[in-house]
Amino acid sequence: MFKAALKNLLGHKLRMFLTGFSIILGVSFVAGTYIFTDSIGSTFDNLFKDVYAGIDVSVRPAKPEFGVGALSFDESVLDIVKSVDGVSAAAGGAGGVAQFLDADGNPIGGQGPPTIGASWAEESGLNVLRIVEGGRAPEANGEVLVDKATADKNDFKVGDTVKIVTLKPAQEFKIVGVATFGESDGLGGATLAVFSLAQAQELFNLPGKLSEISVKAQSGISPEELRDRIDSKLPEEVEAITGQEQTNESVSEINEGLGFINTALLAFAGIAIFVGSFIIQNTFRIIVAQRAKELALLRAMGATKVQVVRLVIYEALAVSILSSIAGIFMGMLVSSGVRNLMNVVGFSLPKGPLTVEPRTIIVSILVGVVVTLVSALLPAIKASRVSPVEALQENEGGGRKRKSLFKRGLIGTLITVFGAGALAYGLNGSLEQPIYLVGFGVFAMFIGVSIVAPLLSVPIARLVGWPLVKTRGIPARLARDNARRTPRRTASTAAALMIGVSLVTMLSVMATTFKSEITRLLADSFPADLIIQSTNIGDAGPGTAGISVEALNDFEQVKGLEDVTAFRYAFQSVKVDGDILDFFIGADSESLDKVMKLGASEQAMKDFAKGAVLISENVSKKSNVKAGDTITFEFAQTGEKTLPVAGIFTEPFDSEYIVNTAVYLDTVKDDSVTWIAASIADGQDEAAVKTEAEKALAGYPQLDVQDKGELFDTAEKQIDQVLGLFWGLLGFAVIIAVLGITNTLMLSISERTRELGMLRAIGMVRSQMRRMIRYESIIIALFGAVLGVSMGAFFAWVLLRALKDQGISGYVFPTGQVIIYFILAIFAGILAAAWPARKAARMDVLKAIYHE
Amino acid sequence: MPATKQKAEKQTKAAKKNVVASVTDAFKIYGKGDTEVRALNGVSIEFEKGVFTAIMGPSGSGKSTLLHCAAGLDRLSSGVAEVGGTDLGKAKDKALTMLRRKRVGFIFQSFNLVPTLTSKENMLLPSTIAGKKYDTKWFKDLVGLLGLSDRLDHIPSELSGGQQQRVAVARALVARPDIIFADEPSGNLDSKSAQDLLMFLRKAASEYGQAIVMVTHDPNAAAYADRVVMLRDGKIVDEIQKPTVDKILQYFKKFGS
Repeated sequence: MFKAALKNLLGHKLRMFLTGFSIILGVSFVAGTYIFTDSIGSTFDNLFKDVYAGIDVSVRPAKPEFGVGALSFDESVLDIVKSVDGVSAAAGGAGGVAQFLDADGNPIGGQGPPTIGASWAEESGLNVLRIVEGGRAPEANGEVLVDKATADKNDFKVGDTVKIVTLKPAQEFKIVGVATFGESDGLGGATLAVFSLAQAQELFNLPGKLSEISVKAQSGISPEELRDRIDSKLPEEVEAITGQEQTNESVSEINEGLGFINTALLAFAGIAIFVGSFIIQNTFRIIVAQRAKELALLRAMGATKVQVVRLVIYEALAVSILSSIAGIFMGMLVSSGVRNLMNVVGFSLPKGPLTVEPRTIIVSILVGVVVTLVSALLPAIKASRVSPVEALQENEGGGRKRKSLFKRGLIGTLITVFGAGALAYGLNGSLEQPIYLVGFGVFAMFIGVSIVAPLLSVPIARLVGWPLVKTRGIPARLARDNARRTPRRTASTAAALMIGVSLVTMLSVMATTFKSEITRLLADSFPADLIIQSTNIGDAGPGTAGISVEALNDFEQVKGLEDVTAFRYAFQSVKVDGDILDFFIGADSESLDKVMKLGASEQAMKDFAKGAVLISENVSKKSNVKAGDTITFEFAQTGEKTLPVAGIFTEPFDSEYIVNTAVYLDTVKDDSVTWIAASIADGQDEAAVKTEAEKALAGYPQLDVQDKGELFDTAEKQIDQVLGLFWGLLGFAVIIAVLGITNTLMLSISERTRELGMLRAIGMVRSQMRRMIRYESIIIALFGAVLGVSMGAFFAWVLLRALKDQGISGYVFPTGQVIIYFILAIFAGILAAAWPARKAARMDVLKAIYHE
Repeated sequence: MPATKQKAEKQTKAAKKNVVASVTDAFKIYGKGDTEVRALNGVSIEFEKGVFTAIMGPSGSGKSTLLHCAAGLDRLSSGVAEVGGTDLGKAKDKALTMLRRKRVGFIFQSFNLVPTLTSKENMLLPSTIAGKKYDTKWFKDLVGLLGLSDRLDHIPSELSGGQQQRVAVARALVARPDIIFADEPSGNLDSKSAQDLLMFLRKAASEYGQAIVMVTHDPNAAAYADRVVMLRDGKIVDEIQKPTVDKILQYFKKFGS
């Protein structure tokens, strides 16, 4: 039986190719994701092993239970370490943030990967860097060494002078060397500036302090042994770890950083496979229908139902195994593609061999085979039910009675409603892990709608086909009728497209709504005229300084400004009720309500100025706390502190808790400012004041002065960037769906060969034939787009309702974009029809008429 | 063979104005060398207005090939096939299609109706495809003659086999083509339906001057024709004028079938 299946398969190469292609695309995403993760992981693992090769033990400030903790320790620790028995050599280092400026004075990097400043260890064998020929280590003040990736990218050469911003304003340095990390030119897009130790201590405000000590063990002593020996001598706030531990830590940090990409890729792999499964199922259904006679003949010759099911299943098995293997190879391409894409975007991921773990192969093949088998099972069972006599009779095609669609409609509607319920419940905010229920709800709705879709295909095909039929004559009429002739086939082909379109539509609605919300929020609740932010988003934690107090002071001197308000964000260093807060905000009480409308009462603002905490409406509701109550915070730097509640604020903000600047500095112990808002006094020339502000901050090139328009543009650009990324990936789902339309049309024309031949015989010219196929394709594509846009609009509505708590209200439907989607659907239809239309037009009339 | 050719030429001259389609010195050769098959091996024949021609012959005699080549669905290896003065061998696909639209009607053994269209739409499909108006009176008469008046809004699956074939016949006749090619048109019908259909074709030829060429292997069907052309091994071997079933059966008895 398996042989029969295989033979049949090889006899229909085209059919196999089309089915296989959808499997290949889906599997390639799964495989590509794993290969990408594993390759990056192992490459970084090797890289860090190289980097820490000479270092047996590192000494660094102990990590606190939470919060950022101290970044340095006293120089005297170096002597303690050196005195430990078994230490062969030890060198201290000082590190911080150091950002290069380009020739125009604009900061390089900083939007993502860190801008690292470090010191050169004089003891040989303790340096992680290899100096490229022609350079040397930095020795004196004013000298710097740069990593090769940064040097190549910015055309820095030994002997050049560059400007570097540290905690100090920009200063000029002479490049004395270029270095690599082991085999790698750079570290994932980070920039590295290496100074002499003394210079680093000065630049990073670490006089008499070190941020780490690298230790080499004497031969015969294991790193673990030495680590324990050193650790026992160290003061409490300092700890020792082995080079291996350091490697593991760095690798897992990087993997965590890349985690969102893996999650996104796997999600898209899921979508691709889901879409592919519609096509696979459709293909098998059509194939089985076409082979009814052949299968009936087998039954007439004595094959049992089970044998017929097996035949179809074997065929599916063979296609899926072959395609999954091809998918794994495609996955390698996907993986290198993603890596190249990320490098283009600015991550410099190290080169390395692709790692294909056995797990990747097993999972990929399993996914491909299981999805295909499940998709093929229904058609297989249906095939087995065909009675031999029935199938062997002359079958004229369209004469089949249409089965009652009532039951189908009922089941589909129930599943859709059930899915919508799960979605709504998942989003109402009462669950810990809503994403699973939400995902399940969306999935169920897709299934439900695709079950109902055949019922919708008749009226919707009539609707979207109407303009074509009115203006394009008989080919359009025949095309529309044909789309309606096989509602299930049309529907499941369109359903594949629906999935991609619905997600794109959902994102469009959300993005458009967000943009209009941002405009509204900026207009209504943000009276400030100017915003100062650091473009180096690595400048977060204490000691690395986003905006220094000096810069704040310089800015405050600008004439024409009023209500200059500094906002300070503590990142993960404050606990409430055992939960670590992402942010905890300190703001200037005198002017806060002048630059930002938070919706707090006057009394609350008065108490806030006196040292009480403002809480969000959410927190107030959740923990049942109101003005006059107290909340106990645990600060990483200063321990527990109980603060009175001033009142609640109603407008959305970055944190649920706000204190005044005095309380913040007292508890968080970090004076660096995250951003500044200010108003321009009445009667002042706004542009002139802005120019003045920019002049005042010229010494801090990483700081960006933005007016409201620029702020809005920046926000819009960020939204568009995220959208672009998703669209790119969803594009794959759409490509698979378009291939699905091609597939359906190819099978449909081969099924209707005789009819098409007759049409040619009675006078249809080739161009009419091509148009007929094309119109059918367009109708299917538009049907998918109608379903997709409707579902996407609904998903967005549900999601936006769920975001109401976060202050996002309203629903803006992007009519223009949706019209573009419909136009694109028409083009997708034309594209999908290209090959089938050509094939139909080229058909030999005589052969077609006498086709079996 | 020269005798046959001369005879054909004479006929051409005699009935020139009535000839609507012809095949001259037709050869159709498949394969090469040892595997060469001559489906048509020097056939010349003319079809005249108002004449119902039946083509008979054993399987593989080339009768279907002759029909297909005469109708422009297939091309001759050598020789000339003409419909309404157009040389089919020289015509491109578009010209051939236009020719089929205007001058040729087809009736097939399997009815080949478009299942999504009603009887009326199926019948008018050639005019619709050509984007031309049809003769409403002729259409009405035709529908009446074929007994389809109360079936116009039915789709094919709601019709009997006989009715479906009558719709196909109407489809072939609506545009008043020069010639109709029918390939075993009664092959799929019960005897009563077959009889009705053939009577109608007979009538179309004698009363409306329609030229009809029909390929069949059924003597009962061929007996409705004005003449029966016998084909064997790709050649015309005989022709029976005013055939009856007995004449045809006698011929087969004499020469084998």
